[in-house]
Amino acid sequence: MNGRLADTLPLAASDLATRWDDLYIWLFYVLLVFFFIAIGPMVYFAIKYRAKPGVKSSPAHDHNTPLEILWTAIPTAIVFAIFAWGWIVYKDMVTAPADSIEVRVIAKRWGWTFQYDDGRIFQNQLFVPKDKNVKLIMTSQMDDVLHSFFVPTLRIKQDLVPGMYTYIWFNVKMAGQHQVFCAEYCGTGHSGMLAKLVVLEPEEWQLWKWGKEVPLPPSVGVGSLAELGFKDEQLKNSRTASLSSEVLSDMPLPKLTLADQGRKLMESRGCMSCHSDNGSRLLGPSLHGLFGHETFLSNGRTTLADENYIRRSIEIPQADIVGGYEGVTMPPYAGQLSETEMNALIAYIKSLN
Amino acid sequence: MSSPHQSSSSVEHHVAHHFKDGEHEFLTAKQGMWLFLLQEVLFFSPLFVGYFIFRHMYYHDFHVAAQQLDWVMGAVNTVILISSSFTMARAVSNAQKGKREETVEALLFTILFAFGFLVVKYLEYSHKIHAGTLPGHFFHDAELLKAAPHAPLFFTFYFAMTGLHAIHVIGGIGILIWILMRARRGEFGPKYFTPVELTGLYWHFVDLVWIYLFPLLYLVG
Amino acid sequence: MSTAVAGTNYLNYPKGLKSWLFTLDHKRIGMLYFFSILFFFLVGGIFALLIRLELMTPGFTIMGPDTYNKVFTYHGTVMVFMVIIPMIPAAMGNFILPMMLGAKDVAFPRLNLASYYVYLFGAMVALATLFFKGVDTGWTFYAPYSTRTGSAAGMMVMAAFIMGFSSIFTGINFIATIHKLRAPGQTWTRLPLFLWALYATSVIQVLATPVLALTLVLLALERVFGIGIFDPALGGDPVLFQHFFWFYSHPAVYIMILPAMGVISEVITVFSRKNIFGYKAMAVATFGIALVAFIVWGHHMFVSGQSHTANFVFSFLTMFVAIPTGVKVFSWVATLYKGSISFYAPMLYALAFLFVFTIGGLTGVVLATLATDVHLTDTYYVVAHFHYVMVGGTLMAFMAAVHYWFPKFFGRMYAEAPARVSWFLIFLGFNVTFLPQFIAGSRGMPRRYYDYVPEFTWLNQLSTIGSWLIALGFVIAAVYLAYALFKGPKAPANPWNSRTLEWESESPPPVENFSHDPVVRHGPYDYHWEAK
Repeated sequence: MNGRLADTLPLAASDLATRWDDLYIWLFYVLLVFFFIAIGPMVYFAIKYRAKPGVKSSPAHDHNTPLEILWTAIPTAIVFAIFAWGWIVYKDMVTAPADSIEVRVIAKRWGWTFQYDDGRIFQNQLFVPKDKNVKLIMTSQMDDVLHSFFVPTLRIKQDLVPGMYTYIWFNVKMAGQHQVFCAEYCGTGHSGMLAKLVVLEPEEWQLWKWGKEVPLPPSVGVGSLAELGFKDEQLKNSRTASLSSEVLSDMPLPKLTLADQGRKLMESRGCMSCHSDNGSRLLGPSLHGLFGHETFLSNGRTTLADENYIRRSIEIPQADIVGGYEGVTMPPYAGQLSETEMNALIAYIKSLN
Repeated sequence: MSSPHQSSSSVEHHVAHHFKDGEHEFLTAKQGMWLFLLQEVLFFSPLFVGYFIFRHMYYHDFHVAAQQLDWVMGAVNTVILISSSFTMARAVSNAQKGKREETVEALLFTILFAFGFLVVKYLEYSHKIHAGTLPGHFFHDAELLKAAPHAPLFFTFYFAMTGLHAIHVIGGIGILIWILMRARRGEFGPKYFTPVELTGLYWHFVDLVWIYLFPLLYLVG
Repeated sequence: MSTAVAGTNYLNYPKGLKSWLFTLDHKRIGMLYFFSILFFFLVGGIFALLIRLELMTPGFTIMGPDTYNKVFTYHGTVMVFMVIIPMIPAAMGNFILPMMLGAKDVAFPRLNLASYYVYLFGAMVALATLFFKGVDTGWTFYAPYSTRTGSAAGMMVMAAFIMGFSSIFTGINFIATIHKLRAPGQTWTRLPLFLWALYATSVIQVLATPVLALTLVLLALERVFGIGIFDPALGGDPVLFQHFFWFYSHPAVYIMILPAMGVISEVITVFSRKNIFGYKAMAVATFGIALVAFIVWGHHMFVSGQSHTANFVFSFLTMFVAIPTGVKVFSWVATLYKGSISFYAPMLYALAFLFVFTIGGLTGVVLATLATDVHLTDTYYVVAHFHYVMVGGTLMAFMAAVHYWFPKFFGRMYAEAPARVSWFLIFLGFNVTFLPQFIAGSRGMPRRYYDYVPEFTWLNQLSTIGSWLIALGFVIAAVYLAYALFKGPKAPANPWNSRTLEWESESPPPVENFSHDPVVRHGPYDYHWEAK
């Protein structure tokens, strides 16, 4: 590809990032042609028809219907071709494959928390394997503000909104530490709200999974010159955790996986007295086989039981009553669960499929 | 259209220098008023859009919360406002005919109706303050909160929408009083009744907003 | 009402400060706006220079992050609400619109004066927030940051609310004036394109501004009372704020650019002595842009969490903006064909506009495209894009307008030589400032960053140097324009040989605009009329 133009882009570390670059570079040249079609004649006319003594301007040439139709129709066709290509790439950028590894992301001013299915929690370091699909289920803490998860080397970005889950996915082809920025303004520490996406080779990934010591790969792409963290004292203090270390020391696995934590939480909160885990009907609907399926509601609508639905049904049970359970009231849990607890509950419900 | 013997215009109106004549000035002012009302429609629109969105999201809660409103009070206010629109229309047509006494009388009734509307509104508001069915953080009806956790949001919209409307009514009363005083001085007649006409348009708009608010908040819920 | 006295004009009759402060004359109100806007432009410009200075080096250069956040918030708020939105309609339009129509004044002079004082009051409230700990929300006031930050955001939001009404009043006034106060012979097809542009702008002002106004009230209530509409903890939806905000603020972008396009149409025709190419297509395109403005707001929100279906629709609709915009650019260029082009300062600015605005418009297509936007949104690419449109577009057009109508406003000529030097510095400085920002953005530098990774240092330093070139250009402009204002040679009635009505009157015009009631006998750009 054109070397100089690619210099204006960061390293492309995934197939989608490469497809993104293809689109961008094609688009760049199409628009460059348009630029010259407009500005070329402007410069030429300006020189050729500069005022000269005795030469008058032409009284004609103030319209030309075929020309006007042409310069309306051709751009129309082209912009919709651009739109179509943009949509095709975008659709793949936002559709996570079903076999993705899931990691839960919680943002707050000014740091990132990554919660894994094995129950571990990492601050500002997101470990993923190379060449595997990874899906992030993201939210911002309820009492916090908007943030945005941005990885330039993957060309992906998604806002995190308090009170709802948003998703993003990727498959990184290049091991190394990739820079994660917060791209939605969030106050004092906005530019210091950084994380590293640590992409591990398969062998290291196995070590990491067992909770063993892992050598950290080098930084790649944007941010690789940074001495992990910024110079500004105020920003340094606003960071929730330090990033600098060359080796990730032992990170022993907790006793309970995320789903187990969720089950324990349900038992302690007494949820199980109304919701069964095996499909049998108690006072409330069973949680078995709920996740990812269409659920019939009492108002006649159906809805997909995804993270947002489960969260809403826990926080505000009256919002959507499952068909056949009219008149049953469950107390609302809005504001009573932390984001990590909510993630555990959802992971547990998901494990019941 | 004009009946000279009835013309009681005692104060002569001067057409501004940039208009051809009184008619030209009148039509221009009227167009300006329509544009202003168009702006008003869009001013109210975020509240309507927001109400529809949240009503869709929290259908049950909004339904339960709306039961707290007294539809009889709402209906009384609807009748009051429609009556005031009628008297306002009378005021315009009387002003146009130069009937000073009748204009003043119709305006007086309009103002009285407007105050009547506000009295009913006051009763409703004070009942809600008493019951604690208030917007957002101020909501303190524990029972209702249990049955409908998003009732506070409903009352946010209730107070925002009816409150904004009430501000328009209060503003309207101010304008009506001003028009009333000018009418008493005999400023209006067949040649010049622009302020009465424009106030009429405004007042009908305020009435119309209520016609939408009443079913939306009191009945549909 | 004062009547014309021989030898007097709107500037010197009637006399006295009071006659200016309570004037109902559209020309004087235009001038009040003009000088107020110049003042706020200076304020916003100083904030801009502070931003660039801070970004000279990564980390602390001259201020800490909290101060920086306030500085960019004030730069944005002052420039958008106090400068660019009223810049051309309220200052230039107020003066020129009735004169182009052949009217004695706008339809509602008192409303016009009220709009000025509402604007001034709102602007004062906005600047007063500086004394109440300042505002750090950014000019977009996104919830829930804006509802939770401890700064004077509530006050700033009310200031924007107040200034919104000034905009609405001006819009109502212009529409009624264009409809009702056209001189005999001033038919719709003879309307100068500047007026078509102001008409379309006014429609947007009347229809979109009230939505923002009420949204800002709700935001203020949210801050003070916690009413919950935008607060997720109370069941509200912060993304809804973005919808409401952009429903106004996207059309607002066209409030900024359409009048600029109108100015360019005037200037290009006059200085190439040619009728505008495709008059009807130009007028239709102006309205096309205004109408599409209302249905594309969601393209600001492709990564906000709005549904993919919504993204599909908004990206599709946004593509329609490109078509009329392209038609306009092509038509301006075609107007030059077989013209007799002279390069006075207004024309230089118009050509600079074409160059810079085309870049701004084309990069807009990149941002309208779904996939590409995901990586580029909220980076410096967006910052560069909208500066190419708002500064490169609107500000260049404003400078064109100032030079073009300067003789009419003040009855004096400015000096051409320093004007060209200043133009060159501004044009060069602008590109040096903002071209590197495209690269910083596409390489992944997020916007509103106080600190940045070292890779971006040289791009930022280039940008900072550019900002000084722009500043130098404007200082020169201020000097020679101020000199011309008092000591410049007397201007004839029609120094550029224009055909629109305002040039039929003396420079500066008398109080009543024209000494005879004007009658229009030819099109606005008919430079060969005498020949017929």
